[in-house]
Amino acid sequence: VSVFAPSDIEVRNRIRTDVDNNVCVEAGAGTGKTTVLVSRIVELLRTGVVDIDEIAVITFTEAAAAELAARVRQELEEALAGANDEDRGQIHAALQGLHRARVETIHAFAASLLRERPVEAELDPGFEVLDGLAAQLSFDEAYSAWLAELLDGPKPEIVAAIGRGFQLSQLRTLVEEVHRHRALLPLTREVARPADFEALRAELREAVSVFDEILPCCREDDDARADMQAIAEWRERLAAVEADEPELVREILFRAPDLTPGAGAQRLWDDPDGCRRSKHHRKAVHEAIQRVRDELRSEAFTALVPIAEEFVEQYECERKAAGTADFDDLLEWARELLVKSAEARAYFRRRFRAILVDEFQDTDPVQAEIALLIASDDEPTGQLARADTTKGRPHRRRRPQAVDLPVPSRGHRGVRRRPPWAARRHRGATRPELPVGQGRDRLGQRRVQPGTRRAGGRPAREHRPPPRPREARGRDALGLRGARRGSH
Amino acid sequence: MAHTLNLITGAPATIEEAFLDRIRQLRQADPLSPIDVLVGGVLMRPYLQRLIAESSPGLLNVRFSTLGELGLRLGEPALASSSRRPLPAMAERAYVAEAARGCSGYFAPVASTPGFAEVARRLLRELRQERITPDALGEQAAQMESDAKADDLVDLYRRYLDGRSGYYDGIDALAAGDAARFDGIELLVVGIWRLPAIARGLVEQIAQCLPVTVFLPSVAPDADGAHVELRDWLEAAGCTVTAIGSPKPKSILATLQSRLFDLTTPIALDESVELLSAPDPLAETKEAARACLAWAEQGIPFRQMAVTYRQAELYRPLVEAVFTEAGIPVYLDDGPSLAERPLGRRILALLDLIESPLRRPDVMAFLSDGRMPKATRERFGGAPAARWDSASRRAGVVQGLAQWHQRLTLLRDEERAAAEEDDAPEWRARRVEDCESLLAFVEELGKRLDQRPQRSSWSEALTYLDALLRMYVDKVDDVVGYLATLAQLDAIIPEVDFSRFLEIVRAEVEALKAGDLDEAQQGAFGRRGVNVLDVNQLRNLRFDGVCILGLTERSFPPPPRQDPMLLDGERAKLNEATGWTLPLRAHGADPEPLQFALAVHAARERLFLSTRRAEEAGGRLQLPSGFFRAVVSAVEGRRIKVSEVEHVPSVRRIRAGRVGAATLDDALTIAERDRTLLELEPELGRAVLASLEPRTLRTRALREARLRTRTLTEFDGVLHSEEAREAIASLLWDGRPRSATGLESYASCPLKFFFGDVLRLRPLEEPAEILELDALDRGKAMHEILHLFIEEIGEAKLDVQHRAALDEIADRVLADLEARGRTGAALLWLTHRQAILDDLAGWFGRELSEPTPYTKRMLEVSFGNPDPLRVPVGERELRIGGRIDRLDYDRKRFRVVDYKTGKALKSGEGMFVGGTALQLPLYLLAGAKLLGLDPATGEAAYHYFARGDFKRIAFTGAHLAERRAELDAVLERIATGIGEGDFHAEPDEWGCKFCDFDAVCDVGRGRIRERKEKDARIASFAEMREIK
Repeated sequence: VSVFAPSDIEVRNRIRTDVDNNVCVEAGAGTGKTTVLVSRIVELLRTGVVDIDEIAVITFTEAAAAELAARVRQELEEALAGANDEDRGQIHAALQGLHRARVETIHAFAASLLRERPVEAELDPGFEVLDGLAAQLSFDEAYSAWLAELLDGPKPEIVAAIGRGFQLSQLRTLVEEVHRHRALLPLTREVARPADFEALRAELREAVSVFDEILPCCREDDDARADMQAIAEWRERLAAVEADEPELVREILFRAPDLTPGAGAQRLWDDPDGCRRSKHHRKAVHEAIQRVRDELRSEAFTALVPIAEEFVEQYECERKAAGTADFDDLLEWARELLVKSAEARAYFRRRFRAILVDEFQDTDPVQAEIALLIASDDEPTGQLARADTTKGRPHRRRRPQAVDLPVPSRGHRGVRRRPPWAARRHRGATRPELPVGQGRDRLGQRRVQPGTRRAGGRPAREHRPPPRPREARGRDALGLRGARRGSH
Repeated sequence: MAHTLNLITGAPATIEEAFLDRIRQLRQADPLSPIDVLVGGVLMRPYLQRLIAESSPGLLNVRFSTLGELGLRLGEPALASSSRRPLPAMAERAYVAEAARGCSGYFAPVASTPGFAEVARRLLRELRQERITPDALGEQAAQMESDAKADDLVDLYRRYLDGRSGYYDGIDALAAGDAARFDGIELLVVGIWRLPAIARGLVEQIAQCLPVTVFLPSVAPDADGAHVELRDWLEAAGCTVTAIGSPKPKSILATLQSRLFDLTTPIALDESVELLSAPDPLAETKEAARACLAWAEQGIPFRQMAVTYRQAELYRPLVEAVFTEAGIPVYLDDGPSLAERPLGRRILALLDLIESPLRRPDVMAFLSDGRMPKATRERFGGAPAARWDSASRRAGVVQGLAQWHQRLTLLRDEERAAAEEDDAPEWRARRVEDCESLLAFVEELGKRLDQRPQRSSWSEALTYLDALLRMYVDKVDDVVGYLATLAQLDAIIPEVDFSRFLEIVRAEVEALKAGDLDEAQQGAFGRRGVNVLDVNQLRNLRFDGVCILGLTERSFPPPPRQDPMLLDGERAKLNEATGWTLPLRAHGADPEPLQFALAVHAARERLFLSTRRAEEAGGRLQLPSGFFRAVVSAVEGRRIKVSEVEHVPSVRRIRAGRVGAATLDDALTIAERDRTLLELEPELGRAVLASLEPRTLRTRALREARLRTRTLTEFDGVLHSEEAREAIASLLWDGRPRSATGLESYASCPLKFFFGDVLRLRPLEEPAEILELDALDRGKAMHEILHLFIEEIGEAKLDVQHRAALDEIADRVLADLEARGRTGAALLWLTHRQAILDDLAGWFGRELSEPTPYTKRMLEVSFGNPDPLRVPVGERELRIGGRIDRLDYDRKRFRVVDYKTGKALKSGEGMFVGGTALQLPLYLLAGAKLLGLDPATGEAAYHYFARGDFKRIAFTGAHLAERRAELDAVLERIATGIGEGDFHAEPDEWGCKFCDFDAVCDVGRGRIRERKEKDARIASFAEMREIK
């Protein structure tokens, strides 16, 4: 028997025994977070705060989940050996049902939610999870079919984009990006700034006027001369197609002179200031051309985003109809199930009275949202513990700290809480990059309000349940009012 | 109450003995009257039959029935007399699916999914088994989560029952069962842990007249919870309980079985029990095969052995493969799916073709997998599928009957023209035949597929499918016969859409086991060889030797799943409110511990238990299950932690990475014996292997050459064989002239040159739908337009009036391109066409603004044959040929023009780019030679067109004069490399990405290139690449 007692034993004991309150544990690697997590699980089961079917322990790798389940079994067996008569029954029951316990990865947990409430998730109860390669093949097939159909009908956005230099391969890249970040749909509509042809014309006008003035001072062999002449000629070509916008656009995108604004040597000028002015105006014209090109391409690109979204939504419907889900679907659809279905939400809140998340720093917003939606205080159930390692300071070992979560803001609090990655941004944590626009604000909230309609699309998905009456609200940040069974 | 209701409990072996004793007693009392035995599974019937046959009383008039069979025996006459007809299981499944699709309320979102049909079938079955009527269920709506759910469920249940009211199955028969028809002297119930209400009722009725004796295994209080509900019912019914004590165990195995969940004292294992920790399922399975072989040597027949598991989809194929390879006969109870066999795959492939656009890969998948009936095969010339595959690829068929026709006809005509040429090889004629036979086959197939009914009775749909399957699938009679029962649905569902009919047929074929169609499978259990069973099937059976595989956390036992249609919470409330006994799927009596215990007790003499540490070799870590740990703990006499399991002496641990057996004698196959020898005695193993299979020496040499030396070897692409080098050298110096692009290819990567220019390999890719004009077609069209245009204007001086001619030619060429189907979607073609016209306009404008100073021009000028450009390289001459797009010239000077339709290269004027830009200098030399002028008076230039981005990059006579020595050095290095057979790989991230041969090139090429960078050939190549 070890006689060693860590100096923070009180904190560790508090984490283990304070089962009526939510606990957040932050500590460095190797300090024993998982050990206290396991001891807390055993305490929850031993004291009957929850039974084995009411607990969910989520971690992030299969190996960690298996390890955790095995450690829980071991601890329970040890607890059983030394248990008094009062606790023996609880521990024995927990051991008997341990194989039913939801000690698993977040993906497996999400899958189990969907399998338990497939009707509300609008998903085939026997749905199949596609692994990486199968998911890729499925995507390829759906994309090919969709593209062939898309190109079969009138799509001015596609014509405009191809006309402005986009390639089909770039459309695929865009679609893949939107698909990858489909948790953020619907994306906020960005209105592209129209191309400012007038600014370009003004720049050209001024430049050509200056060139007329300074060109006589430039010797024939100075490279700037060719640039200035090319600009002047191009201005005339632009003027010739001014009334024909498609032609004007092609002229700017594909036929503008290939300028070298830095070219020119003062020694080849009669007036050195002429050289400087030439460079200045050639650079200005060069930049004006690039700016208008960017605006034209942005406009075309922005028009493609809704088309990509259409595919992503259509493909999601196809996957649901076919009863297939990839790993991201499991998370997104589980979250959607909890958000959209009050019945399912209430069911899982009743079903899981304690949620423990290991390696919480590895959660992304969707994963965190799933846990938090279940652990809301709508019902007087649930516990949330967080075992958090300190990223960025791997060599600094810190003792576990038991921290009560602060009193929350109101509303759908699990979601509104600042997600972990937001808190860690300064340490290099990243969140998904959006291909265009930002579907959420900086804390991961959607910008679209419930009930708003997307142009030509279905109503935006309800994001948050309506606020509950004040008296129904809980007391802590996550609404995880811990309570012994039967006390409510 | 009951006449005599007995419950006998005890250890499985004891129960088995008690059952036999009871048979003996009954037979002694009455030698002839029937004795009825109600069994829990179909395998119990042959098992018990043999057991009884081996014991003294013999089998005479002992009848075995499952619950459904008993019901049919007692209830079928009544049902038949009321004009009800039997409903086969397949028709029942199809009918439930149709009924489920009719859900329009709560379940509507998932009503059409196959998974919902399956869960609905199970629930409806349970409701019927529990004698719950739709009305009774409706009255309990408050116990369910919502009224909407209750309403939809009740509606589904009612529609389902109404629709099938003219039919019956085993459950209906049980409900109608008349105990008076029971003519046995006693009913013995074995291997049943739970009786639904409908069966309890019948058993109760029988017990009113005759004795009923129920045998239940008892292993430990926790495990016995699996049949607590049955025991409670029996006790409530006033049964007499007899608990038979177990005799003192006489063997180590019996001791372990009796102390399965006990930690009293350690058990010293002997050879009767083996505990194994294996790295992966394959290793587990191999060790199980070794255990079976060892047991066989000890005198246990294979038929007296069983291998069992929880994850059938993982272990069944492994056991089948490993045991078959080791020559161990097996009986696979849950045999392979028909879909895994050629017959099943072919049927499914044909079903996929119906209602499909006849995609080329789908047609070829159907043709490649198995054989058509002989008559059909012969009708189409018997061409092998591989030749048809090649023909359809060459034709560029993607999908659609029209496209098959058009493209195959075109290819056939081309092949025919080629075959009719003088000296055409014989295979040309065969290609014509292949095109014709494939075309005939596809057209007939398309016609037959089009004849399908859109909506019809089930019988009509079956008639069509029957004819189609018999026409195209060999040996399909059994499957057709199996599907024929669907015709019974005519009376319930008069019409069905053919698409829906296909879905149902497909689901049935996918679910079909190969053994279901194998008559020899019937009765093969316990006779054919080692019995391979799912652990559920092993329940209540016993064998001399048993292997239990896959005792891994979360796999054995697996986490239970609730019924999503009626959750456990709802079931519990319903049961509580009504006294029903709907089973709780996840939270009810846990059958897993008893199931495991019975598997352990199934072993009479030998037991093998194994766990795996990963799902597959190198895969995710897995831990031993609680059951495995329980056994290890029982053996060790103390609680064993997970981390200890594989380190305790009682568990044999197989290390990961082992490729052979522990000893030579343990090897299952010759190949494994070789591998074992290699592991145990590497030198001897290598020598033996080399003598048996000389190629292994080359493999070893390759490995050593590639990884252990720092010079290039033949395995790196450097040819050592004199014959090969001579052949290559003769190609280089005496064969057809080399092209400039071929030399550039060598400079970019010698191995690529070897594949493409020496071996002349070309990728044969899957034809794809053309969505937009590809770069190659675009380039060809531009060349053609310019060629025709310049030909049209002849030597006239270009002026603005020629623009009309250019536009007219462009229209013609592009229209032809469109007519040939090369331009893709109309939506994109408009844009691409405009871009081509823009580029032509840009080119025309340039030509006008910079009038050519040359007075003459030639187009598409070939050089090289018969008089190639000869460039001295050392003491020899490199012969070069090619074709110049355009040659402008006059008496004193000239210009070679090569049109490029892609983006301009980054290389500048007068550059060689390490030998990858040789075309311009060589064309300059060729132009000079053709015109008899000094190269210094000319230039060669690329004219680039890319969305108006018109550029020229030139290599002038001055450049040549200045860099001639470098050009010669580059050409010499290339010629020397080719001549000496140096075809090593020169990896380049960008180049390799687009290389046709990337897939066949060594993935470690970068590492090898780096390791051998000091090799003289690589060094000189690098020097050449430095010449910019």
